[in-house]
Amino acid sequence: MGIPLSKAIAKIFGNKEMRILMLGLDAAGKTTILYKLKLNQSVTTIPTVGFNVETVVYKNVKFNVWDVGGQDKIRPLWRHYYTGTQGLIFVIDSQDRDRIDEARQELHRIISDREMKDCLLLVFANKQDLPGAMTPAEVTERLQLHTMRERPWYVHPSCATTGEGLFEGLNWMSQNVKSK
Amino acid sequence: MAPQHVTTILLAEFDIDQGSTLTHQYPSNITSDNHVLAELMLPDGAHLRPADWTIFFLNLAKPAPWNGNKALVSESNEQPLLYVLNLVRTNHDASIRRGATVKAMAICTTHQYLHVYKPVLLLALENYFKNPSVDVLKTLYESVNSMELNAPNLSPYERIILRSSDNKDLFIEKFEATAGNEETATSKVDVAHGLGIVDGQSPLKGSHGGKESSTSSASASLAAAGMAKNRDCQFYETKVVYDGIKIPIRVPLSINPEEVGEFSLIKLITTFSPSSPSPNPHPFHAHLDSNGPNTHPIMLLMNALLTGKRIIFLGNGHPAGDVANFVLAACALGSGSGGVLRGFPERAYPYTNLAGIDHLLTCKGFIAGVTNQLFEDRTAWWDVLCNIDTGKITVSKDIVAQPVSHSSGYYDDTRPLAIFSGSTVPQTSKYDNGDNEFMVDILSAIQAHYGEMVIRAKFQEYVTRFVALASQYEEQAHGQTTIGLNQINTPESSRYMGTGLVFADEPSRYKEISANASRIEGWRSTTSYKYLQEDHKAWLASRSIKVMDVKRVISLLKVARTLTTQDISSLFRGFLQHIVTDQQIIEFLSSLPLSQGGLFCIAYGLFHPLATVRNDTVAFFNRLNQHPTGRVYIRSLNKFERNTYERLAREMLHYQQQLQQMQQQQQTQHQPQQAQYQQNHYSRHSASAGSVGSS
Repeated sequence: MGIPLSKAIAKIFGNKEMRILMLGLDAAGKTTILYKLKLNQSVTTIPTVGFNVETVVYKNVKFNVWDVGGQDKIRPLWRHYYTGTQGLIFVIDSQDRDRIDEARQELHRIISDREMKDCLLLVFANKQDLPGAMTPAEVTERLQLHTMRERPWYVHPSCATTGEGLFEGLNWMSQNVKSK
Repeated sequence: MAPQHVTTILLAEFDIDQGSTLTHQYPSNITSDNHVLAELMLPDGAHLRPADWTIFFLNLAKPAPWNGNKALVSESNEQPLLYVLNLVRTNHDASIRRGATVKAMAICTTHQYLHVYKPVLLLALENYFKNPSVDVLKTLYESVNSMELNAPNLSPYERIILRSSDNKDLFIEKFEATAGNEETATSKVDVAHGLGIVDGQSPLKGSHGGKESSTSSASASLAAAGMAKNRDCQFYETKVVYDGIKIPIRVPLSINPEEVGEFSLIKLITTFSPSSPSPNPHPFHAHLDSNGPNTHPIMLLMNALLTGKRIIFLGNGHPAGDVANFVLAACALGSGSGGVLRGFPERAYPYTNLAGIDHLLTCKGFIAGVTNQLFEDRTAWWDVLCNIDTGKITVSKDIVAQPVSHSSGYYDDTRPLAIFSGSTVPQTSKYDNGDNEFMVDILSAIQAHYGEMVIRAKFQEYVTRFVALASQYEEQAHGQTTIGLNQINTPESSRYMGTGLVFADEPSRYKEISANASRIEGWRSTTSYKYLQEDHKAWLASRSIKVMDVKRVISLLKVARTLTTQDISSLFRGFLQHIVTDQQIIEFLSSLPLSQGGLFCIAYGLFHPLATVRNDTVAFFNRLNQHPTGRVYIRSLNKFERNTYERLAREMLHYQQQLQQMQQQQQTQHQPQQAQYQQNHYSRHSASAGSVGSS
């Protein structure tokens, strides 16, 4: 009884649930973004062993956000998180020009997976507060996002420590998610 | 050479650029799959907490016995299962890049009681944080392997006896013997060390008091005996000296073969016992729902364990150590506290994560602990999921269905069977196999604060009974059994009340067997069943009492009113004739746990109206009284029984002396009528303790 009723209420009030996977190279700022969204606080983070998962409610959408560690050796584990993912947040350290090609390769590997074919792509061009950070346009260019025609994607500048740009990104996600 | 306690020390760290890395393996590499090992040592969420203890097992032996049926063949040069105790710690340090270091150290041992190494592992990892060098591993390896372990070597039967009692006199002779050895061993070591005694060793000698001065062996053994008397009889006390620190180690002695680590069966039971039971929502599964929709969750878990289902314990966001202990407890649940069935730890993954998933999914019927909630959604990966937060046990919607009507092919529990010809048992209660009653008993025992060992003993008994039922079922449904006693492997048992479980009557026998048929069939296709077949075969060859089913005889004696005088007298004669050697006595006593009254049901013979039964009992008790363990049992009789025994024994001795005199007279005076007297009264005296020969 309980479950159909709550589903009905969710329909009336437009409550949506969305499963988000947040990936990116190590030290891109994924965990800082997660806890800024969750707690609206800038927390000091240390490298994530495994994953963090939190639920963030924003504009009637319940975002179930999975933040998975990004070091080289643990990237093969990312694939286990693909099933059921509706939105991918890919986080870029905009100051790290050395590794932007590495980031591009990883991103393309993720979205070419069959399980991710219907998934929205949001790229945070993070660490915009740092000197010499790449602009969103430059990030778009370096990640070769223009080659992606089938999939809705969006690049947004962000600064995880202040929270700038984060909710705009989520807003785009919630507006573009296909209702199940 | 001393046995090697610890085979390998491992060190893993979370490299902030690379991820999980296995840095050291000392003294040599045990695996080439470094990455998965590193992932297991650095469990999910390690960055969220200062420390986490985990356990995992390394099955280096064969290409995983659970992978296929071929595993059972290659028995000879197998390597034992390695138990790995792992400690991971996260040290925050603002001065370094990314603010923290995460390191893990693990001890790989063949000992089931791996938890004893916790303190020493804690110290060693601390040292490694200060001085990240392989020398730390080397020092740890050397100190844990120099631990003395002169524990008395107890046979499986002796362990059963010890486990059921806290009586400090049990096996004291064995403790005294080893304590004596230890004494001489230490003094030898001291001589060898000469003047260059290491600092850490001096406090050790302090514990032996001032007996250094007296070298007389008599006083040393006296002191050793004193130590043995003051002991906790369930443990052997020793120590590890690490880094100048003496760490006491308590090695459990009466541990069952498949009990691994320090877990709480009570916690498992209370976590998954709902306060207000409701019918299980999943579709009926013949292996799991042995009591229909009202199967108790713990019994559902039991059935899943017995029939080799894929089981996951999920502790969302918990330390890995939490789920690991549930997995260890589940192994004990299914195996009958580790004492009845085998093959559970070898398919257990007390902690695993996504890095180990590919390996996990190749395992038929795993028992795994995870902390990642992702597993909950992947219903294709498991059959039964136990959520330690909600206390709910869920059956996967993807589980291979076992509809009741075709459950086994040959034993359909919905209809009366031809094998019970003419049976007119009412079918209304087909699901009532006694499990719910058993669980009520367990839960009230827990509520009454009975200890862990009492609860474990009850489950050991439960699984023992399940196996006995399965053996009866096999005889009925398949015409033969390879897991129990019967007329073929124990032909002489026909003289001693036969073999197998005792039931109140035929209908209750039918009811219990048919209610268990589906899960018995499920269990018969698992490795634990095949192991039991092997074990049973080996036991048949090695058992010392070959003429009777002792367990059956004892349960019959407990309800003695069903036995005829004839039965009773042949049974007690049987005891006297066939339970003679040390081995036979120990094997016999192991079926009479002291915690359940010990010899009380045998002492019944002291009060039997028939003189021959009384005499046989006294003679048998005399024999037990000569045996060190038997004597403990005799002393544990209640006062009334003991007084009766002592009085009868005195009278018997008295008559024997008289007899002896008469015999002597007989020989000289040739008076045949005296033989009549002898025949009527104490014809069975010959085997009594310290008696004279009858010829």
